[in-house]
Amino acid sequence: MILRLSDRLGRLSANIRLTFWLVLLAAMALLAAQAMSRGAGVQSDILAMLPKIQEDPLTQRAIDRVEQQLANRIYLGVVSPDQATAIKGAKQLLSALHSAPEAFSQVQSADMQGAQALNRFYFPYRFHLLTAQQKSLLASGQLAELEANTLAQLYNAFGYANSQLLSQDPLLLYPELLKQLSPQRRLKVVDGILVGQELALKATDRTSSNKDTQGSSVAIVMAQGVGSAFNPKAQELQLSRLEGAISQMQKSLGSEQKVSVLKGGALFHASAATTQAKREVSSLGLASLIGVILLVWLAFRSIMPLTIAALTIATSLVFALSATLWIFTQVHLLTLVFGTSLIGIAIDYSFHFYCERLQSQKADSGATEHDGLKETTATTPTTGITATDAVARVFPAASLALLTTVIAYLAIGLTPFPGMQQVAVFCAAGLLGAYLTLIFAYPKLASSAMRPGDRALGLAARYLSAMQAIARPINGVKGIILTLGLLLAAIFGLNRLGVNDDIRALQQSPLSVTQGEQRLRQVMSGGTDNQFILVRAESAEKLLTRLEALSPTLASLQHQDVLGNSVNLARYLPSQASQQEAYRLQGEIYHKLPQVLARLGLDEDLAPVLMASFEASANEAITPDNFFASRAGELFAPLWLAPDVADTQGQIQEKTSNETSDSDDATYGAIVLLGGITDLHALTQAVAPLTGVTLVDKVQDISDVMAKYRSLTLSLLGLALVVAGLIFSLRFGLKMALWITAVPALAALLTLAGLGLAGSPLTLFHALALILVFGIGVDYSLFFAESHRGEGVMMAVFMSACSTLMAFGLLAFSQTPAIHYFGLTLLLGIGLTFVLSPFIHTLTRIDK
Amino acid sequence: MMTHRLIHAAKAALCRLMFCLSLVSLLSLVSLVTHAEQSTDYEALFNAPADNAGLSKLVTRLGGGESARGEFTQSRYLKVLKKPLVSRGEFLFQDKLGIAWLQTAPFPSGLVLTQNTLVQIDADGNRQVSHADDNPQAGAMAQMMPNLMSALLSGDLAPLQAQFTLHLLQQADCWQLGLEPIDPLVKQAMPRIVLQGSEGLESLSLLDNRGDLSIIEFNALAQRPLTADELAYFRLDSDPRPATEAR
Repeated sequence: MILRLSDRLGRLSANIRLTFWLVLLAAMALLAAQAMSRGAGVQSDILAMLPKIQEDPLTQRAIDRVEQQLANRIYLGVVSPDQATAIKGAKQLLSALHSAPEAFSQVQSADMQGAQALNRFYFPYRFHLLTAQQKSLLASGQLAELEANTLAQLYNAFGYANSQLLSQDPLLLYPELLKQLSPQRRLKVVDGILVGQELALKATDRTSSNKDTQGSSVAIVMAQGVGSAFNPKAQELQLSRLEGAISQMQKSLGSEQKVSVLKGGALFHASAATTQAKREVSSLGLASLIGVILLVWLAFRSIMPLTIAALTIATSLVFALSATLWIFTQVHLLTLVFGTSLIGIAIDYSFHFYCERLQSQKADSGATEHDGLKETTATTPTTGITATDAVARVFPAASLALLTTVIAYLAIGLTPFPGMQQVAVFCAAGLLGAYLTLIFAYPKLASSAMRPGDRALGLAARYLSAMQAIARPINGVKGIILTLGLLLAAIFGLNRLGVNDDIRALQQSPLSVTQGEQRLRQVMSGGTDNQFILVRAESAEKLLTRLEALSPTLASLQHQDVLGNSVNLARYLPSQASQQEAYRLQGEIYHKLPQVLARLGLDEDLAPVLMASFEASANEAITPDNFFASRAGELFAPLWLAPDVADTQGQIQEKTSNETSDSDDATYGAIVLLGGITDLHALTQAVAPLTGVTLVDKVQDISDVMAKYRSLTLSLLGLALVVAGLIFSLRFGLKMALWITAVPALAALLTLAGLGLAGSPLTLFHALALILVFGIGVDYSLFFAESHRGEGVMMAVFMSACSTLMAFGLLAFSQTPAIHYFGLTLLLGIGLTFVLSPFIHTLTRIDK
Repeated sequence: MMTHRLIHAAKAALCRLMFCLSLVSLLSLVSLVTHAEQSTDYEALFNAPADNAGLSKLVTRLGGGESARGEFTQSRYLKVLKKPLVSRGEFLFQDKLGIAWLQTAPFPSGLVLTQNTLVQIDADGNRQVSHADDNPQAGAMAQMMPNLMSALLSGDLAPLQAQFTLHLLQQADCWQLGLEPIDPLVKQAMPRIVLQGSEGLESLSLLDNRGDLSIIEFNALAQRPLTADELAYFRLDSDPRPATEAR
């Protein structure tokens, strides 16, 4: 079939081919231009690379809410040994960020209005509210104890007992409740600014140059970024406004004030990742390009192959970009990083082409000098080989190679990672572009005469025969020993190979980012983690009861230091049952009001008014409706997931038919935010037995998906080997096909062993790289199998391996773990394939 | 650990002098009744800003020393009370250690404030230690009264200027120092504080906008080194010691 195709191609003239190629190229360029004009661009949102996970609708809504709330938040801490300076700095930052509404919203420090709103909202409901301690005292009839506490307050001139409050809350129960409601933080409020202390113990950090960080004040400023922190434009805008505000503040405070700013939030991680990826695209890409150009120059000593190689790369990039833009409308930055490796593969075709020409040329000149010493292969023309002939000669191998490599990339594309799908499309399209250039453009463009490259070919031939010399005695005792040794090393390595699917291992921000954030977290005691608890129930009241039931568990977890803090709605929005109980218990006081007032020394004239307002409020309770509508509840509204309006109808029916069911129709949900988790396992365990309570851990879910696809990819690799073997057997026969697939299979196995020895735990990215190793490995063995004299292929494979190693091997030096894993695997895999593939040549010789 | 201590600290809030100014001010917002009544006695004082010369003159008048001991009588005139609440006790001051405020009547209770530790002693003599780091909000406000006392007893008024706008009236035989908190929240809770005396400090008055008044009068004020017994109050590791033993 391949031969027939090659035949048909051969009949087309070089000019027609070139025209066809130009039309294709123009079409692709047009496609890319069109996509660009539609607003396509480079995307650097790290999240976009992660797989979409199927969650049930309520969980998905909860995840969206939490991400919306947390992802774009930034925290700043103005650090100064002098509290007043820190506060002044924070105030300047506040006003500077306030005046940049295009970048930041909700700029605040201490939320004074929020605190006041809280007070204003709860006070009218005070008869329905009690702290746990007050409840237990009243329930056990220890009214005297409460009165003693009140008296202590009354005698405190600096306390909160004043006439106005006493006339409405004679036992001063409400301030205790309010205290419980206000977040327990290690921060104080000075002049409307949240201020924390950084302890002297921090002096242990060697990195901080100023020794007087001990006992510094940290003034906190918070803001919500406008637009996703992962969106490059929003990110850039936010960062530039922020940098401006900070430098302006530092300038106005004067350089003699040692003011530094701690930063926390996804923005800073995202920006670090973006800068790093951008830097790597340019530095690794450039290094790879320079390396390849040098390689070509050294091998062919001519400008022409270099131009042709550059043309091939350019065409391949046009194809890659336009296909990616057309399918995904955006190119992910990581795709470009992976894509730099495309240079290494796309150029292989021109290597094979030129090496073929070089070899034929040499054979040719040899033929004219020593007549009769021609190669036995009949197809070799006696006169100088044309570009068209060279293309025809590499055509079968190149076609098979393209087929298998594209299969390999398609396998990568099957993973649910949008980023990896892009890489697959990008590389497959790029290779197709390079392949089409080879077939259609080379006959015309690359037909100029070549300078003889005897030296390079000679080197390749010598290397090949050396490999054969090694290969030959392998059949003996040495061979058995060598095989056993390799086997032992492989078993040992594979045995040590660990697995790590934790996605957190893939997201490592530089120390400069994490250190500042860690300090800020310390000052603010916690922060919020990615994990949260989702509580669900079929009615609002039932949900609140479940939230209340969760409180003791959370408290004990906090006590055990498993958890740092939590935000549970139950504290702010008690269930109706709990409010009714509080009202009933307060009745114990109000039924004996005159006596209570007398014991406290309060005016008995207060009694009638107090009694009246107590009785009047009997039916006034806090409900989700009035709470979330208030300014106080607004803050907590994101934590409450009421059923969609559309669902409500069905919900009501459901409720009447089945009140106690705990199935999927439970559409009320509440998010409990968690912070400072130290033991996720213990937390999961503690929460598991509670009904309607689940711990949502998207990080873990993604890690699970990674694990699933890692093993899937490895099985795909096995499958791909079998399929490739079958395809090859059609052309080469079963025995040869086995040998050809054995090279990439062995390379993959030894690579895994090598990773085990290197102590790099296996991840999805290693597996994906192995697929590529397979694709490239098959290429090498195919070209060797197709060739009759080895040195041309040897030279091409050598150059190809060099260029691929330059491209991929460089990825191993990436700071981004995923890319590093990818590069490391390819470094090992391609290296091994390079060493193993010449043996195919030996085998073809023995066979023939 | 931290959270444990936080919860602990929050529970401890019932004790005397452990107050939460933000709450006070918040509660004032609840006002349904507006008391137009306002003590006008100090209008002249609060119209007289303090200048540096006047303040340094006051400092020389106050003298000041490293340590002092005195007795206090506090009267609270709250409109809802049938009769004023009167309490008595003694206080100890040592500029390096801090201040101990020990109420003896009508029931014993105490507060000892050292650099960043607050020790509360309840009527049963139980000591409760909390650190300013655990709950700086409560700590900072609990420190207001001791800070005031320290400034006046040691004769160093500079720290006050960071927190208050100062007003001063000085005559040959007496002086009045008026303080208005700068922090709006604190000001809402405690709009005006007046300190007065003839030579040394004699009284401290707290006035609010609604007509409540608290007066703390000092007597037997002596600038002298503290005795070993008195110093024992500042030792964190000292045995639980009922406040009743104070006198």
